[in-house]
Amino acid sequence: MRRLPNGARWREVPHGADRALWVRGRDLPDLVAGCVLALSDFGWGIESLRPVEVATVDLGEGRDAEGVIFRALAEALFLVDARGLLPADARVEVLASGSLRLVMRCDRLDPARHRRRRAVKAPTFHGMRVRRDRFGVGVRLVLDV
Amino acid sequence: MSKKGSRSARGPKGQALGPVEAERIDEVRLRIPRRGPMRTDGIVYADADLARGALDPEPLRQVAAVACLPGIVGSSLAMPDIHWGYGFPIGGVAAFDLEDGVVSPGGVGYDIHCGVRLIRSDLERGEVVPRLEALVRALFDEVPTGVGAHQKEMRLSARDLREVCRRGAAWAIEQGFGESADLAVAEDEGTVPQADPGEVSDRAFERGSRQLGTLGSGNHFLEIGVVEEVFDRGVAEVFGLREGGITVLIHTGSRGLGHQVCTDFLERMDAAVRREGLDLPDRQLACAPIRSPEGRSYLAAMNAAANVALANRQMITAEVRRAFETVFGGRWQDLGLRVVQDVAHNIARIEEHEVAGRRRRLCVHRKGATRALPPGHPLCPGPYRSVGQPVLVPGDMGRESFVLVGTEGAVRESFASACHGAGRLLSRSSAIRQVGRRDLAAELRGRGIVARAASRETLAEEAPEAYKDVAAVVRVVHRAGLARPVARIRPLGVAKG
Repeated sequence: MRRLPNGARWREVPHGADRALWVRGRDLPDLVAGCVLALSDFGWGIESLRPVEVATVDLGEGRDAEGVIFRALAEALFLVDARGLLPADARVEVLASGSLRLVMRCDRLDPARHRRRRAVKAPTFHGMRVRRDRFGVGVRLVLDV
Repeated sequence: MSKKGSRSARGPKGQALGPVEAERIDEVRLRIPRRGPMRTDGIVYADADLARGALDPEPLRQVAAVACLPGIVGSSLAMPDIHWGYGFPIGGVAAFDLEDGVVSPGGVGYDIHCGVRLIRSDLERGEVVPRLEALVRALFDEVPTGVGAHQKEMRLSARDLREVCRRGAAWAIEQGFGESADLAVAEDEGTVPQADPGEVSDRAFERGSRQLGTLGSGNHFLEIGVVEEVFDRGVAEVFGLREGGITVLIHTGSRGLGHQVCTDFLERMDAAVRREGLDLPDRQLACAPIRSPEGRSYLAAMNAAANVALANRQMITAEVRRAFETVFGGRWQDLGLRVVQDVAHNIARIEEHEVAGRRRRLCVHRKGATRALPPGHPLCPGPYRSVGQPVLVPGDMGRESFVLVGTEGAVRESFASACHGAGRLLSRSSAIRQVGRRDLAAELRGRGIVARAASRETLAEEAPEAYKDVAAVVRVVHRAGLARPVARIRPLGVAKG
């Protein structure tokens, strides 16, 4: 598994149609940030990204773990596709209200430095289920490519 | 024949769907009998050959899962190009009652109004083959490709983009990207009604502001072809097709705007599903009653995204025409580059159909399926009303594509639907592994096909062996009486996203 800047890990897993990733983290905030960074690593190679710009996203309240991950991935993909911001590092803060905030330190897309390895268009809920075990939490992500 | 599903699933009443089995009804139809939480049967169009080699358990389970949704009318259908989707299978067709049925963004897909446009020309194979490399290069230069590809010279204001959402290809024509004759042959004459840009999020507008006239990535393509065989000379003549004639296929959709609309509404409907306590077999089947605020909003936003797709293909048409002018000189009108048809294969539409002897208004989801209207149908584009709607069925880039025509059979049993392509046989990663270090572009060149792609990996993902044989798919659709072959087109040049 590939290690990410926040300590989470990921690898690609077989899927019958599109592309799927398995991501692991210590706890849910770590996993959510790990999913965002796994997306960056899968699409661009995280080692090519420099954290120069901060983007903050309120992940809201009342969502379950899968809903939070979907929201975080949707936000990250929006930043990439619409604003050319590539998450190089990320963390999730738990606010006093109990809601989650995703803080991403991003690189600005520069065709001279960045080469897209794989095109990801959207996250899916398809078969997504967060699994907990004594080592932490993990989730399988199926991506629309 | 029996296909076992790999995993159980849960239905609306908490009942497990369990393993899914399909039984053969006749030479071209399989039935997944109603059981557990299913509200109706599933029907899959496949002959023994397709079922043996190209029918996985997971898409069959998805056909059964769709049959669990509230308000489904008739059977949950799957065309012979069925393959694994998210929630709904690709190749799926399902109709829902307007009063107690649902609409599902997962039943339309992320690329709203993804579709195919066919352009014919007066050029012959002999005129094009010597300039094929230059033509593919010109297409690649004219039409931006890739997932975030954008038009350098054109950033639309929010106001302009709202107009695109309302008026579709008609907006593009007004801006000089074609002529009104292009609209006459397109579905909905190039403008999907009941579109409300007010239901499209600011984020979707931001993603879409620079992407009109771009191809995108994945399985999107431009393909130069030659009509190699005509099966029905009379209908082909009405469509403007003749043996030896050069054609262009454009396959793309609503780009980032459509994806954002789908993502936005998946989240909204996911919340609605949780609020209503609906237990879906797959969360990607998130849906809402058609009459609910979420359902109405989605349909209005989806129609707006559909108009973006229509405008996008219209603008690419203008770029294609420019590329031909660059390579062959003269005006595109003199080259006879006329649009034959523009057809969507990812869309939900409110349509009237006869079910059990009664006319009913239904919301028909086609996800990887094409509308196939018979001769005389009032919604058939005017120039084709006497013969039926052209059904465009692209195959993989190494073999062939087909033009079919709609029949009464499709009206009787598939809500006037037919297949949309070959259907994937291998996953993208399996295709890349299978191609390995082979030089696919060189292999295709050896077969007389010039292919260019944004990356080597894209080409490998779309390798011919990654797809079913489209001729086998068309054979099943024909034998089932859903559509009739008119012409077969062989690829000569391909530009991949």
